[in-house]
Parts: sequence; structure tokens; C-alpha cells
Amino acid sequence: MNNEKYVKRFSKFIVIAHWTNAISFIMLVLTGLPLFLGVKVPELLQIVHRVFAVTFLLPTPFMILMDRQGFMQWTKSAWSWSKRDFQFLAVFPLELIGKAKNIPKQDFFNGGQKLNSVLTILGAVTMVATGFIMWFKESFPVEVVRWAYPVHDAGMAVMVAVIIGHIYLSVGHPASRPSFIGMTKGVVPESYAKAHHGRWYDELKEKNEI
Amino acid sequence: MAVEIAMLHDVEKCSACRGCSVACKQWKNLPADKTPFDGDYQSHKDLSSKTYTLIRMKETMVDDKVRWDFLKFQCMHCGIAGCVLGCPTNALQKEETGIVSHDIDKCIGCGYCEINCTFGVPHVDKETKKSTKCNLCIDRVEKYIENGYDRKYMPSCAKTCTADAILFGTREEMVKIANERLAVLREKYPDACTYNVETDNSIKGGAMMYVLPYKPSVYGLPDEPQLAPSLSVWKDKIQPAGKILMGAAVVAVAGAAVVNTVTGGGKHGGDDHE
Repeated sequence: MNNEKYVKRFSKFIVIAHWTNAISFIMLVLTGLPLFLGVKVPELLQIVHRVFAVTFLLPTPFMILMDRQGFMQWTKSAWSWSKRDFQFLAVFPLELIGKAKNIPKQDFFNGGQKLNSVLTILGAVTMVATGFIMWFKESFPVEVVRWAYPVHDAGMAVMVAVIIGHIYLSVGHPASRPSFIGMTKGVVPESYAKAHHGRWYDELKEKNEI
Repeated sequence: MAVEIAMLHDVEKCSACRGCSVACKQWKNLPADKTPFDGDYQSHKDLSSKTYTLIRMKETMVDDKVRWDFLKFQCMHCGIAGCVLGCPTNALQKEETGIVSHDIDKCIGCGYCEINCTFGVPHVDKETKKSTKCNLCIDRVEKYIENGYDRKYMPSCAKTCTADAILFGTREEMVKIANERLAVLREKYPDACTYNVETDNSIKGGAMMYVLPYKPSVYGLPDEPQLAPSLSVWKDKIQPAGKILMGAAVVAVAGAAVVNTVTGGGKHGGDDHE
């Protein structure tokens, strides 16, 4: 693989936004999970949780300001589902253990990445909305505040389950591991693009970009 | 052997002297809550992290005469308490005596007790970041039981009450007195009722009981007190399901990692497809 060629996948702004989001999310889980599990932790963690709640908000306006095109491509793609996305999800459990065959060619984002995006977007909106209610509970009716807690917990559980899969696929899973560099250097190996995002690869070929 | 105790406020006998509030401040070593005069006889609008009990005073005009209704408001020590269910660190506990106690060392000031209390009783102190509320003088009550129900170890508010409106004893005894007083009050007040004596609601009564001449709502109490419905959804459904979901994700990923390591699988495509 000495002569492996790379293709551009994400702008540096998307990469920065991703890692701001990732660090914020991990810190939010580390400071919030103890309360969910009933583990006594220093009161200070409740303050730290709120600091990272604020940094968690930053990537969205940052992406819109710095790379509107990349942001739109991602959000649009997350909501455009076709048959091949569902076909991907159907064989995904086999793909996870490297046994999947005949996966239909995927877009820039495959069915799994689209599902990850949808859950991440909906999860973030849910967490921000309920978190806001919990932070400023004096401004809301007590009934609303009471329901914010179970919803915040449910959103957390779903997002943690998603991130566990997301992290494994990016650093552990043999086939999809090459994609990790896409979120560091913004490029992926051409062979990876061809194998995992066939339709995107074909598009690039058509446009003579590779 | 656990003895269930209870406090009974016989509101018809209450003269609203507020001796109970003062006795509480003394025993609990609490500073005064300075409140502005706003044209009301009631000194404190609500409980706070420095005021664990107060006398609610309500003026009602009946046939051109003022009628006063008083109520000693404090923690109800519910049979099943929203604060106990909501507390993530088990700082709040329902004791065998019926007291809802509060372990300050376990408390992290998250305020889950505040929002889940049926009566809005606990308050997290802004400085100490600890929740606060009446614990029915749990230290005194231990001695009260140890010393064969010696009056001098009653909760300080009950001990100090000049009008014998705050009674304290075993729950059995208090229930008996409450029902006797109810029978007497019924002759004069058709709406008279007991409060927290019956346990046929979702909070299962409480160790702070009342005999009321009028409906509970007259005194600012919910006519039908109930646990917040979100509590059981949260604690019995969402949290266990959430733990299962996160656990399942860990197991699935760990399983895949093992399979891929053993079989060398998952290496189609990408940089390894040759």
C-alpha cells in the first residue's frame, strides 16, 4: 500500500467541530453519568457539566459560519434516506463481524453514518432542550421540570449506546478503521472510498476529481 | 424494635403563636430569615433552607367577619416520599420510625428532592449546596423512644406548643386521637377531615398528620396528594432500560471485537482488500 492515494473528505472546520463536539460529549457523559448511576461525586462536577454543556453548543454555529457547504451536505444527507441505506442497515450486524456480502454501493454517508447522524442530531436537540429546562428550572412549571429528567436520561442512554458503536467503528473495526484519518487529516484512502462509499467514489471519478 | 411515630397538628386548637417556628430555629441552630412586611400576618411566605417549619395564615371573609385558618407547614414525612425516590445518592431515607431522614454527607445538592416533593418542601442551600428540610428532630425522637416516650425528648416544636395543638407520639396513638377529634369537629364543621392519616393514596399518608376543619385546599394543601407521575417512569422504566441499552452496546462492540480478532474478519475493502 505504498502508493495509496487519498481523497479529500472533510474540511478542517468540520474536523474541528467534530472534536469540539466529541470532547464536550465525553466530558458531559463523565460528569453526568455518576448521577444517573447513583454514584456520589463532588458537587463541582455539576458545574463542570454545565461548562461542557456550553462548549457542546459551539460546533453547530461554528460549522455554519466556517463551512456552510459541508454542514449542509451533512445535515441534508442525514435526512435523505433511500433503499440502499436500509439495505446497509439490514446487513450491518454481519458487517460488524466482517461477514457481510453484497452491500449496495453507498453515498458519501452510508446508511449507518446516516443513522448515527440522525440520532446524534435528535439526541443533541433533546439534551440541549431538557438540559436548559433543568439548568433554569425556576423559570419553568415544576411538572415540565419533572419530565425533563427522564427525557434527559433516555437521550443520554441512546447517545452513549450510539457513541460506543461510533468509537469502535472508527478506531477498532478492521474494515472501517481507515475512515478515522478522515476526521483527523480530512482525507481517506481512495481504496476505502471505493469500498465503502461506492456512489461517492463514482461521482468523484465522473467529475475527474480522482 | 421499630416504633412508628407521628406528629399531629390539631389546627382548630392552633393560636398561630409561632412558638413552634422559634423552637425549631433554636434546636436546629438556624438563623432568622429576614422577610419584608407585605401586608400579611404570615411571617414567611415559604419554607427555605433556613426555615423548616412555618405557620400558614389565611384570612377569609365570612359574613363580614374575618375567619383565620392556620396550618403548621413542614415536611410531611410521606409514607412513600417523592424526595426519597428522586434522590440519586440515597441521602434521603424513609426510616422505620416513619421519619424521612437526610444524610448530609451523602447529599450532593442536586435538587432532585426539591422538584419531586409533592409539597415543595426541601430547599437546597445556596451556600452549603446541601438539601435541607425538617427531619422531625430525629436525634430527639431516638431518645424519646429509648426513654419510654419521655415528653421532654419530643420534637422541639411539639414540646414547645402552648396550645396543645401539636401532638406527638406513636402513630397508632396519633391516628386514634385524630379520629376522635375528627368526630368532634364534624359536628361543627361538615367539611372536617384528617390529612395524611389515611394511607390510601400514592404517598401512603405521612408521619406529619392533621385534623382540619375545612378542606385541605383551604390550607394550601393538595386535596388529593400524589407522587409525581414522572417519578415511576423515570426510576422504574427509563433508568433500567437506559442501563440495559448502554450495556447491550458495550456487549455488542466487545463481541464484534473478539470475533474480528479471532477470525481476522471485517477486513474486506479498505486498505486490506488485496
